[in-house]
Amino acid sequence: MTLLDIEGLNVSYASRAGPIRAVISADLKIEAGQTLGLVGESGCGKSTLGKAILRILPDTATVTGSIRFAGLDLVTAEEPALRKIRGRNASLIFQDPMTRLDPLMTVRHHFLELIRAHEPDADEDDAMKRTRRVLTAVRIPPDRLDQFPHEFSGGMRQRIMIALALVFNPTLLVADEPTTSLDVIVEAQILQLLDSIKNEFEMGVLLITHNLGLIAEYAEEMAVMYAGHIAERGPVRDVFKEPLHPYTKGLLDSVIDLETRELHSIPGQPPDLLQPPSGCPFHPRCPSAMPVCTGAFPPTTRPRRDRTVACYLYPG
Amino acid sequence: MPRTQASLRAYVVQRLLLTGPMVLILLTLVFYFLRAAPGDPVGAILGEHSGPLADSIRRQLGLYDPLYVQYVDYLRRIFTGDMGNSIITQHSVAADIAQRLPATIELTVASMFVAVLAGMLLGVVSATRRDRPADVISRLVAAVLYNTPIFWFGIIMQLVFAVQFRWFDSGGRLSAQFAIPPRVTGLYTIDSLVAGHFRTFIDAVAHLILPALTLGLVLAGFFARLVRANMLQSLQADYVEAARARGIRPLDVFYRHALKNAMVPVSTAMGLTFAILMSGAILTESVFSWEGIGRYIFTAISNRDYPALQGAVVYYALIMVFLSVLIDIFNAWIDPRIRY
Amino acid sequence: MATVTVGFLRRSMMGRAVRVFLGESKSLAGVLVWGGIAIVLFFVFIAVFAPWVAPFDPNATVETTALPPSSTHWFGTNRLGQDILSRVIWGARIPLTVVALSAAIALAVGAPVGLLSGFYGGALDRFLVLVMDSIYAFPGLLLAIVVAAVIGPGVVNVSLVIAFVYAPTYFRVIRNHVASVKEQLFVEAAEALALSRTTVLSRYILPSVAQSIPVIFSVSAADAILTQAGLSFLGLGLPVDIPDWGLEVSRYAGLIREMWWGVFFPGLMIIILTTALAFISEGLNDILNPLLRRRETR
Repeated sequence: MTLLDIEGLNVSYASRAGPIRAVISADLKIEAGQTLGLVGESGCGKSTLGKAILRILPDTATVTGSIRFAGLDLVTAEEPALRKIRGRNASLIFQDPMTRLDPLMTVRHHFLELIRAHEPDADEDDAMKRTRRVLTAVRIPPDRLDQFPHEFSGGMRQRIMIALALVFNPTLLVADEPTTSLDVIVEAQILQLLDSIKNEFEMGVLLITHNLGLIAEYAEEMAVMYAGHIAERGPVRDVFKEPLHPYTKGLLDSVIDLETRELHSIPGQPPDLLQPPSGCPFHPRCPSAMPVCTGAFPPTTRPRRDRTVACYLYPG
Repeated sequence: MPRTQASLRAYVVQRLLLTGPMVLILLTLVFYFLRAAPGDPVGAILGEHSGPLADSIRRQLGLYDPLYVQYVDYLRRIFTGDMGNSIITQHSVAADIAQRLPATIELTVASMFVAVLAGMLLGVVSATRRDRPADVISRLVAAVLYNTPIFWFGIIMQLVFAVQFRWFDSGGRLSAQFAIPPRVTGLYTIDSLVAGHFRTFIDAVAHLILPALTLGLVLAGFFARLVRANMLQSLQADYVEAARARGIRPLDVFYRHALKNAMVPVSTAMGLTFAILMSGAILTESVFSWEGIGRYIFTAISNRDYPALQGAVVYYALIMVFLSVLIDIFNAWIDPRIRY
Repeated sequence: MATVTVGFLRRSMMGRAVRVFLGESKSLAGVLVWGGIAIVLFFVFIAVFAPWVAPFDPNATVETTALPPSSTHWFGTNRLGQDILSRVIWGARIPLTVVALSAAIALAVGAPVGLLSGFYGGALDRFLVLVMDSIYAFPGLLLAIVVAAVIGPGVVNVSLVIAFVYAPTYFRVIRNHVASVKEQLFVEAAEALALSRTTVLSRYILPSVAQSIPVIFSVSAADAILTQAGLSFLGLGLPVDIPDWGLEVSRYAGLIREMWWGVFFPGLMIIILTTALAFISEGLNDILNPLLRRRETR
């Protein structure tokens, strides 16, 4: 069953220097109980895409296209309807847990506020019963309910964020670089936690990361994003075995090869979103660039079963 | 939470320990300027007269003693509450000040109320409509208010609301036909209510409005800038975005998260706010014949009443320090992070 | 090689500040700064050229007493029949002189002490911070009253008083700035190259700290003018016959019912000048404080 269906999504920011196109005609699908890994360098628009799903972008952003979720099109839905979805049907966890909890509020109040926002009549005992349940699920001792965020470590704060995301058993969880600011051991704990919760709660997860290793381990489907475009999409196993897009190849090569002990990197810099290169934005860095690549952005084709790619190497 | 209370107590103790040196530095400064500065303070104050009057004042003040004796004597007197007698009224300065303190408290509290209300309003309007016309206008109003000379503003308020419209009296704390209510707090507005003299209360409030507006609105300009700057930061804070992502209503996000967090640095700056308030009170009381400590200082200057000036300044300084300690403790209570 | 890098970093910091400032000339912050500077320059102009700008002798009786504003006397005349416009024009001299003089004194005292205190740190630094913070936390006008009551009236004396009140501001900002710059990479690099302390201080720290001086000045200048006006109003600033805005207000405060113009115009001048100075500081603050700049994308 398709949980989330994004079609032709565009997001652009108004800025003094002109519009910045952060997401350009992106198509994505997430099935229930499935993890989709979205990978790309920083500044490629992957965080914007994540926030666009919950429609919490700043006022300077314009969104077009369609995001079908929970029987609604989130692009055209009104604010009150969106608010009912946020934190209830779909939750978002962020990269930097250190600054995501209100420093002046105890953990208890964070949960109470969330539950009351969606169920104004909820009584406190019931709300706390649910809070203890999710806190136990993320292994935070419920007796620390009355402490303030600064009394917890980064990993614990991220667990609290996850617990907040789980209170209403959402069907979709957007995890935006959930472990980037945490150390490796905590990272593994958090991701295993997310994985077990995903199975237990039957959630679809959009895992946004720059780390291909995490995708290989935790995602079933993946999409590669470059300069606002989805360059390639497909099952993780297939993409790793046979990357189609030259950018994907470059990304996979830039992971250190333990046999040859060589580290390759993609030459050049990611493009400036204010003035992206013409045609395929990857062509200045692409080893297989052809004259046609500088013209128009390549059409998305389906060269293999379940796989799509936007590259002139794979004409329809 | 016993742990939290213990840390708060530790903070209070630490804060009080820091206050000691600060008070001493201030008192030393006042002593230095009013007693030990080169030249002859009594001569400066009495003008050219250096006859037996100046001589007796010098002896009365102990100016012929060695400096350290004077200094120790000065500190001893402050801590026993003895500030000498006013040259003009011959009353004890301490008694004069005790009698006038409630008037100053009444004025500053009322002004603070006006300042917080108007300042928050301007600052919040500004921050939530950043760079739009409402922001530009609010910032302009705040800048002009804060940069208005208080004494001039007070006189213009008198002209408009007391002389032109005759809505209020132009000075004093109570009209002549009302008896001063029996003293409980010394604040006429409260004492009159305690005594049940409702019409006296109305009259006291009517007298309070103009000076409180004058001082409060000027201070509101300061507040507005502070609130705006901090709101701009807290509105962009990560936890505000996170709260939005959890489906919290925008108004709740605004009040419970953004505004509350913006208030932390604002209340940290309260000490500075009080300094401005106390400076302004001297001028406001002078303009509105408000018989508080500020007016006492003004009269002492005009009458060259040196012990009165010194006493008032010292008490003013002590009140300032006391308030700033209270404010810091209050902040530590609000913001759990400060205590660590 | 390393010296080149260090020099480049330093130059680019100054260069960036200048470029940002020029580039902002069309934004609100730029308008505030340039508008404020224009108004201040206007006052400086009329103060310097007062004998030619003022239509009448400020101290001469040119009319019958207390005339309301008219086409000959734009701001009216006072009880002595003096032209108020002319007195207001001459009156610009006092606050401007006091501000310039007091800022120079406060800077001359506060800046070097702050520089050395922040650079060397230690017990003396902690003591100085405590003393300066105590003064800083004290109501400025009250402090000014205490000092002014002792040293007596006069333009130079008032400037000394104001300098005493605002020196701690210069000290604080510069000391904290030095303390933070000291931790930065290019200073560490310079120290790693074993440059002498004097070289590090004068070549690498001073230029960076110098940026904050216009900001402190514009912030404290408006307050300095208000303090000076307040002292004049309380009768502590100046001998009575000098035309000065604060003094004029105080002189005719009691006559507000009969001649509002005697109070209104001098006070208005104070507001215009102080607000212009506040615009400069507000604009500079917007431009130089990147924390408050709008995040356009996230």
